[in-house]
Order: sequence, then structure tokens, then C-alpha cells
Amino acid sequence: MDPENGRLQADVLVVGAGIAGLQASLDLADQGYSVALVERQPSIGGTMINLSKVFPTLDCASCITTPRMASAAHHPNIDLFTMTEVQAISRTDDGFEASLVKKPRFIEEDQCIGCRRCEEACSVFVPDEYDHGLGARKAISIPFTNAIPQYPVLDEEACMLCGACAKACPTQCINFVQEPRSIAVEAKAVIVTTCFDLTPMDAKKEYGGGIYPNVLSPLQMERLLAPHGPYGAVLRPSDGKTPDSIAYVQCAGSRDLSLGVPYCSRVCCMYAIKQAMLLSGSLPIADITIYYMDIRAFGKGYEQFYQNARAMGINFVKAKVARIREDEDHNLLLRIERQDTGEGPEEVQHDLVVLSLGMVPAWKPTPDGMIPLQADGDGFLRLPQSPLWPNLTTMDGVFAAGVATGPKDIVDAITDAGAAAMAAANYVERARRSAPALAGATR
Amino acid sequence: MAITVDARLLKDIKRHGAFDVSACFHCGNCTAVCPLSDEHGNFPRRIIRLGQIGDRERLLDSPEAWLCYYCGECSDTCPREAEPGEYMAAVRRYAIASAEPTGLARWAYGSTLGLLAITALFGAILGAFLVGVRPPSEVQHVLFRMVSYGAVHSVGIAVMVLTVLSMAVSVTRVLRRFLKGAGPQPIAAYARAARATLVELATMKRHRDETPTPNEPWYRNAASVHLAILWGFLGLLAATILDYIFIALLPLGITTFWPARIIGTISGVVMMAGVTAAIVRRLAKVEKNVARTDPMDWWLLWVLWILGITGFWLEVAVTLRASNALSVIVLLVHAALAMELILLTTFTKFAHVIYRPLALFAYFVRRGTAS
Repeated sequence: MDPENGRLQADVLVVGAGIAGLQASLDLADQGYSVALVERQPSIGGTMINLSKVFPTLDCASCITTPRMASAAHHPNIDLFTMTEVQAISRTDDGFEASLVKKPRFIEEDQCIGCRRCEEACSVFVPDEYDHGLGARKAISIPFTNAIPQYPVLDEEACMLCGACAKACPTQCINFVQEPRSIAVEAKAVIVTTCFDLTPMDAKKEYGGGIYPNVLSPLQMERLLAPHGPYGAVLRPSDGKTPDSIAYVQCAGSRDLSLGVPYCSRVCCMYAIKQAMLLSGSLPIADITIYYMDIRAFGKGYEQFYQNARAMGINFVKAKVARIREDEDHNLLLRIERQDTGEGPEEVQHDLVVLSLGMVPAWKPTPDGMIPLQADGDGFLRLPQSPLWPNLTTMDGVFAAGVATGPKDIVDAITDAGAAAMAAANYVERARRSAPALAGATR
Repeated sequence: MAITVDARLLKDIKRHGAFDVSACFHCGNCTAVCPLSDEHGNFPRRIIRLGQIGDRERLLDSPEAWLCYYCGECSDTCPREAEPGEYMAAVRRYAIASAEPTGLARWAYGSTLGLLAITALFGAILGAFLVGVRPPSEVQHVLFRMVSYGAVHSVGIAVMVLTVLSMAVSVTRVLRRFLKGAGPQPIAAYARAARATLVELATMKRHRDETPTPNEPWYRNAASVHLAILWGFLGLLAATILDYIFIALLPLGITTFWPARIIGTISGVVMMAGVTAAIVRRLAKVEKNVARTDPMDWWLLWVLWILGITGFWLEVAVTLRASNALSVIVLLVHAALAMELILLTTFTKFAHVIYRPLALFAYFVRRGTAS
């Protein structure tokens, strides 16, 4: 890295530092390739670091993600750029050139010691994105406890420029006038490991998502279940009551042509079962019901996980929830037709409802976008040579892994990222051999 | 219970509606989202199932298809875009087309050409009777030179008698089917169900209160339009019968301002408003339920519309004592078409006047016995 003119040479540019991006970067870096890892958020770790536990082992997500995050952040062969967006990636004679823009944190990163005095001094509270609006954070804050890097971000929308943080900072690193910075990266190959979004809460208006306070998204429930979650317990947002009956609405954003998402998102059955198990641990007397069309427990150990949940007393009801109403106490009334009895529709009441939303790509290629890849009809990246080459995109030298190419769980995303790293390494080696003058230039 | 599987059933139903009900994976969203479905009238999924497995007998035994008002909620929210609402409409068409023994309805529903041929044929037969029958009559209005006043009444009464007979057969058959599941009930239960049925028919309260109303002014929504046609038609029927009685009692004394005539005029205006609105709704495809119009749907609306227009023409002609040839032809068309509509009741969409009330009756019988 040449800090003077903001230029960097690397073997591989990895876009997105979720678990797939981290895995691909580590696999390459451990082999000796140099990696530029770009993340748009202030911390690496993606969605996985946001979860409470993972299926089917019920490992603590924080405990198993943070080592990967730390390894990548401290790896001598990885240059990490957080709060950085890729503007454009273009092909050059011997690889790719990417222009990045690093957005201002409004602190000098090389001086910050991560002491959080600024955060303590700040008096402005705003809804916390990391807790999906359930908790609050300060206008200047480290995004979450185990964020990497441990630098605070000043929220320029919420900040009232009182100066309390600057006074509290022991190293005078707060810079209210910091500007975005351009960075150019030259790389021989690119791996795209961009993120997914959940389908919108209000996609199916019959469910009242985003309107009824006790209808939650699955990621909100992850935070309620996390040990360092916003309430420290599982409580209903409307009144802080401990819920006695919790319902999961499966396929609330997938397998539904009327929502434009005809495919199965693959993870919803398993995360609903996992959350149901965790809930029966935190709320032992609560009734937990999963309304499903069919349970898709396809991975290693998943069917057993599902059978364990049944044996634990979690109710599985084969019925698609058609409509949710709310009574005056914010309890929820679900209209269903039970397919096992065939006795016609009925209305069932629950205290708290989780919509098992589906996965859609967070980044979709556009002709004038970051990189001119092609997508499939579902919006995920096209893999023209799948299944034999499941990481090759429509551009030579550009590889993809994780949820950028389709809905995946963590296990599959990691496997996929390893394969992408291998494919990229092969590509870089081939390029080296065909251009011997450049051999060893960056190695 | 043994089931006779009719392997052609789904294909036959599909002929009456363009939809892909084979896409249905039985999630039950349609039944749960339906504002009218309950344990006494469980649809659409159960009805889709009967079609898919080819259980023709139980499909025709189920009143559910006729409890559906096609509000379109199920089709809007169906995850498979299998159009359950359109399927229910197709089942209704199938029931009329296939459940009468002469094959006439099947022909009428099978092709536009068949429908027009039947209309022309019966029109011609009735027209020939109207022109040919010449009973003595005291009404010497110039309009009745070709079609005598007495002929209209004689042929009209014959048509009424025939229709009542065929409807009686139809009603008995359909009612026996619809009540199969309910078992014998005390008379009082049937009386209560009949009362509830009449109230619903007269007010369409279930339609107005329970199905979602799109942003449409009250005078243009489906329930109001249907109520206008229904009440207009009943008013005209009453006026026709009263007119006949008045004329029998007071020969030659009828004018436009006799009560029966006033009822007829008002009813005519109401019905024409309803029919015109219904035609506009279908032309403009304002809602899902009118997005697809079967030739039979057009047939019924246009027959009613033509009857209304010619009726007003004749009222003006009689009042002004008009004597042009065109008015004579209008009279012939009006009389023949009106009789045809009545005579063909059980073979056309008009048969819903049998099916809908009987389905409601069966539903209220079931519901009454459960509570």
C-alpha cells in the first residue's frame, strides 16, 4: 500500500467481508497471496456476527466468528478496508483496477485507541441498526461490542456537534471535517462475496409486518436471543411482557409468486427451528408453534435437529398463515387452514410472531454498476458453468461465493468461499505463468 | 366411501376458465385468507382438491362454489398464482354446463357459436309462435298488428309453465345434492335457514360486510351493481304480473301512470343502471373478478341490456301511440328475447338464480345445526 497516492497492488480483491469473504481471504492469504478485502460496513463479520447461535450445532455465533474476523484483520497478507465501497472495477491489460471510496468515520483511525470515552460522553441516542431498531446506540459509537476494527463511527445525521466526544477523547482523534477518500486497487482476480437482504417486512401486507409491534423479523429475534441483546431477555416490544406463545410464519418471504420470490430461501426452516429451540431454553413454559408448508431440513445433521425440536415439544402445524390481525392488547390473531384436520379455516392467537423472511441479493449487478456481471432471473449472480465450476461468473477472472450467488447457510457459504479462493488462486497462477515478467512482483 | 374418479374432470373444468390450478400445492392460503370460508363452507382449497382428484360427485355435491363472491383475495395472495378465485368461477360454469341432462347447456357454454346458435334458434321459434298465434284480443293498439297482445300473453304463460317445470326438476336435483351432508333436520331449522337465505339474497350483507371493498364508490362496487340488477329484475317481474292482473280486471284502462307501470318504470331504470354498470366494469376490467369475461357472462348482460332498452322504447311508443314499423320489430325482439331468457334459465348463466340461493340455504342449514 502506498499511502501517499492511495494505490494498492494485490493478487486478489475480495468484495464483502461477511463469513464467505473472510474465509476466501484467509484461504488465499494463508497460501501467500496478497488480498485486498473491502467491506462497506464499519465492522467485518457480515450477518453471522449478528446472530445468536448457529444451526445445527447451536454454537455461539460470536464465539466462532470473532476468531475468523481477528485472523483476517491481523493477517499480514490482507489489507482490510472497512466503511469502504467499490465504485467501479474495470479490466486492465494484466488484471483489474478497482476504485474504492472510504467513507469518513470522523475519527483518525491511526490515533484512535478504542477506549470508548467518546461514546460514554455522547448524549444523543439513536435506534441501533445492529439490534435492528430494538435497542439504542449513541451518535458516536463502536458499532457493537466485538466489532472489528474497534473504531467508533460518528453518525453525521444524528450528531448535534456539541463537542462532548472531542473533549473526552484522550488522543484528540475526532475530526468533524473528515472527507471521503479515494483508493485505487490493482488486482489480478476478483471474488464477489456480497451480502443478502431479507425480503421486506411489509412485502406481504396481510401479515402487518412493520406495523404491528409484536411481529418481528428473524434477525430481530436473533438479537432478542443473543446474550448481549437489546433487552437482555426475550420480551415483546409492545409492552415488555414475557411472551407465553410464539409463532413462526414460514415462507413469509419465499416460495411466493405473489411476492416475486418463487424460490426457496433454504435457511428459514432451520433458523426457525433453531430459534424455537433457543426460545424453549429461555422461556421454558412458552408454547412455540411453527406454521409451515413443508420442512426442508437438507444438510448434515439437519433432519436430526428437526426431529429433536419435535421431541422437545415444539409444535409443527402444517398450514400457511394467510392473514394476521392485532387485538387491542397487540396480541396477534393468525388465520390458518390446518391441513391435517381439514375442518376449514380458523383463527389462532399468539403473543409474538416471527416472520420467516426470505433471502434476496443485497447487491444486484446493473450495466453501469460496480462491475458488469450478469444476474439470473432471481437477481443472484449467474453461474454459467455451474455445477462443475460453481464459482465462475460471467466475467473471466471474477469469482463469486456465498449468498451473492444464491441463498445459502453458513456451512455452505464457507465451503463455497473456499472453492472460490482455490479457483482464484489457480487463475492468478495461470496469469503469472503466461506473463513471466510479472512473476513474483507482489508475492 | 367409494369415490368414482373422473379422470377428465380437471380438464373439463379448465375448459371453463383460463387458469393453472394444477400449480396449486395446497398450502391453504386461499381458504385461510377467504373472508367467507368457515367450517360450514370450506373453500377454495377443498374444492380445488376435489377437482384435482377427479371426484366429480362430491364436487357437484358441494355448495361451496356458489358461496364464493369472487372478491379476488385468494387469487391476489396465492403463492403459486393458481388463481383459486377464477377456478371457483370455472367450477360454477362447469356445474351449470355439465349437470343438466339435455346437453344444451354444455353446447351453450362450449362455444360462442353454439351460444349464438341456441339464442337464434330459440328466438326464431318463440318469434314464430308470437307472430303465428292469433288469439282474440280486445287490445287494438296499432303496435300489436303483427304480434298480437293476446299472443304475448298466451306464449308467455306457456313459457312460464315450461320454465317452472324445468326449474322444479333442477331445484330438486341440486337441493338433494347440496343437502347430502346435512342430514334430515326439523322443519324449524329449514325455515330459519330459508329466512337467512332470503335476507342474504336481498341485502348481500356477507358480500358487503366481509369481503374487502376496493376503493370504489358505493354505486359502482360489485354488491351494489348486483343488487340493482336483482331488485330491478324482481320489480319488472312483479310489474309484469300486476300489469296482467290489472288488464284482466280493467280492460283498456291502463296508462303509463298506473301503479304497476310506475313500479315497472322505476325497476327498469334501476336494472338498466345496474346492467350498464356491470358491462362497464367488465369492459374496464376494474377488478380481478371481472378481468376475464366468458361469452356466457356477456350473453346474460347484453340480453338484459337489450331487454331494458327495448322495454323503454316500447313504453315510449305505447304512450305516444307510435305506429312505425320499427317499433313493431322492437316489440317482437323484446317479447321473444324476454321469453327466451326465462325459458333457458337452467341452461345459461341465468341458472345461478337456482344455484346461489340453494347453496346459501344449504350453508345456513349446516351452520344452524352446528350452533
